[in-house]
Amino acid sequence: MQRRTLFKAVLNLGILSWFGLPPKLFSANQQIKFTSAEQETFAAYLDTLIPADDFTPSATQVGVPAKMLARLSMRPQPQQIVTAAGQWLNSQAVELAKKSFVELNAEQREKIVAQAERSQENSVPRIFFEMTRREAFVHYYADARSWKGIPDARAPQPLGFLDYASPPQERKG
Amino acid sequence: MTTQKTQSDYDVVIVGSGAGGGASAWALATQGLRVLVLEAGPQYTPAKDYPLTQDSWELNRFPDRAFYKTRYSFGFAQPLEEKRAHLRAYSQVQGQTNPLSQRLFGSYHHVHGVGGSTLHYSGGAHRLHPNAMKMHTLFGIAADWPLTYEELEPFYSAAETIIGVAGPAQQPGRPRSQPYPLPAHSLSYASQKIKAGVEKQLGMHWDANSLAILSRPYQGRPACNYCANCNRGCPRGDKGSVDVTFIAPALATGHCTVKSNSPVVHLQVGDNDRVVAVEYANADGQLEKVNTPILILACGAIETPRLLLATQSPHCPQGLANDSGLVGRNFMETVFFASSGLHPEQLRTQGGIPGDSVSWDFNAPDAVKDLPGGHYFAFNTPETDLIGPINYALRLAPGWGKAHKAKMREIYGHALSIAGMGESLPHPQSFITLDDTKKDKYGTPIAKIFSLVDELTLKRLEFMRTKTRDILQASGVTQVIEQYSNYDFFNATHVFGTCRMGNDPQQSVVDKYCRSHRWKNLFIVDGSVFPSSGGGEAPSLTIEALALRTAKYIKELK
Ligand SMILES: Cc1cc2nc3c(=O)[nH]c(=O)nc-3n(C[C@H](O)[C@H](O)[C@H](O)COP(=O)(O)OP(=O)(O)OC[C@H]3O[C@@H](n4cnc5c(N)ncnc54)[C@H](O)[C@@H]3O)c2cc1C
Ligand code: SF4
Repeated sequence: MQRRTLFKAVLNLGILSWFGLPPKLFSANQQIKFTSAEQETFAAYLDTLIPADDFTPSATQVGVPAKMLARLSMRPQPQQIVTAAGQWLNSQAVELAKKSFVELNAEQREKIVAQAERSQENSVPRIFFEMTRREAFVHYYADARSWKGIPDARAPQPLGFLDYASPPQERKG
Repeated sequence: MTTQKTQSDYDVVIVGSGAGGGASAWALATQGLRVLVLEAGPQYTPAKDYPLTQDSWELNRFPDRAFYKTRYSFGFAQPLEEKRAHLRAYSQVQGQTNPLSQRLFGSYHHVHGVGGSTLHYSGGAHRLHPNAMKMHTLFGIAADWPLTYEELEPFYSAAETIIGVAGPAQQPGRPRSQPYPLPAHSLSYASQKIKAGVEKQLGMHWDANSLAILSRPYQGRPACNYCANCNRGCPRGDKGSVDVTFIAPALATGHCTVKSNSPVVHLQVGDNDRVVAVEYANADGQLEKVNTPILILACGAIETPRLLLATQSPHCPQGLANDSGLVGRNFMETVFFASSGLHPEQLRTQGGIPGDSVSWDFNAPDAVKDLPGGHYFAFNTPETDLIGPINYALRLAPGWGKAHKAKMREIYGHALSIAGMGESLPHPQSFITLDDTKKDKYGTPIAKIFSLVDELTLKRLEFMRTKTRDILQASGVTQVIEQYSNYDFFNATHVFGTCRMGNDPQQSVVDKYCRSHRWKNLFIVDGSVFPSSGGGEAPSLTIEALALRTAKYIKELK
């Protein structure tokens, strides 16, 4: 089985479906350090995927980039993808506005991220987009600050959902 | 590694403390026998190990520790057919789940620990349909059970009472000698919607499920608070996992000892067709031996046949209890189809209990023309794990940016999922054997799982796909956005058949009391003894009822 095909298979699985595959995919490798420019580009990219809005903070405000980079830096293939994708984001930014990705405004960044999403399957920007979208949401929604405005989003215990049988409009929560 | 010492202080040694082993321990200890339970996994502390109170609760599966797990490999990967593409798992947001042209091997889902796989089970507590025990007589397929529903009924009742099963006054097709000990749970709001829809539009029945989940406080355990997370482990102790229902009272008798972190690694046979001892690694990793006046194997339908097949000696060159050649054969697995969508109304399906409502309409093995074997359909949102923001973000809300956030707020609590489970029938291409290349750290070959989805199962998956979609639609969901089946994945939560019970020693491994036909002090009490799987019924209650019956027989032998 091709590694990339397997990678996609695992990406596609619900993270926690009881019928899903174990999520281990790459073996640990020597950790590399991303440059500060790479880190800034990555954070700006994640804040485009998950911006702040009236209810909730952005990816950076809840510490998502740091968590992701710590993990990605342990794995050889994702490391290379992050570096290559950073270069791609900046080259698109230069093409669009003769600036680096970090210097773009929100609308311009969104244009480039949408381009990554639409890129050819198995291309660097597309793999990067799929890999990071998924993981960014995992980290972001594992933080209660992201739940504001989502009806009844909370940890299951200790309260449970004692009003589970009532119509939602009659519930207290 | 050398064996340290041999102990011989017990009447019965039980290997494994899941549904079969735990119930056996309780029944034997309460009858005054001295019981030793050897359990490969740890003793969990629910409130500490799976509290479900953290922000990151959704990331934590049941926290299986890596102390010891059944290791297994897979055989042949079944090619997938173009004409069956509609049976493959997909998600509207993530695309096709398995991009390959062959079946992917997922997992044999199980837990090693005191309580076994019931620690993360969903609490379904079902009796088999009486006719599901006569598949050979009625349809010429699988094998008949060597006992009838009527013979098992008193043990079903006893197990339900110990566990505190909550169930409805009526349940079709299963005569009862007494009502369920606790009233059924009220239907969740989502289940009320399903019931109204399917009864009106499909003429189906939709009722409360019978569950090993307390609807009232019972014997010192609290009632459920409907957190919907049974599969991550119940921190309150209201779910009827074997650690709280059978093991705790067994220990309280003073006749039962449980050794956790103590995997059995060898079985030792002697003359006169007896198993004389088992060797296990103690919590410090040292090998110890214990004599086995009576030995009960209850390691589940993968590990039990592995231990038997690996026990080869001049007395049993083909493996222990394998004179029929059937140890490891007749492997049956979960046959499953789930369809999910978003309901237009806010249902708040993130709260409740897994499978709180069901239809038994297609459960009798002759319920569907030309498709022998039963099915059961149930509300399935919690088991599909569509109950938290992470899964919503990844699986249900498309896109990114502010629009994604807005979508999350709009759809959260709307996920509705329906599952069908069906009869799994034995055939020659599905079996367990020893891996000839891979061994565990004690030098014993690991199990190798061969699994093939046969023609009848494909037909069943087609039926369950149609039916789960019909049910969703009748409930108000207009579009399926995710489906999952065991067509393109091996992922088994229920496993059976690999040490089939029967009357004929040529056609079975154990007799109607779960005793080896030849090895008179050897009993097998777990999912491996099922001659047929049942029509999607959850198996633990049947395993526990069999264990109580076997324990009574053992006491009578003494
Ligand atoms: C997600 C999920 C949901 C489920 N939901 C339901 C449900 O709702 N209702 C239901 O009835 N069933 C359900 N099941 C299935 C149910 O959990 C199993 O069918 C049942 O627990 C099987 O019982 P058993 O005794 O055969 O094996 P297990 O319960 O798996 O017990 C086997 C025990 O043996 C131990 N063991 C194995 N090898 C060794 C060794 N060498 N030495 C010592 N100990 C060993 C293991 O550690 C384990 O504790 C579910 C399963 C899963 C995975
Ligand atoms: S739903 Fe009930 S039984 Fe299940 S884990 Fe929550 S409290 Fe326990």
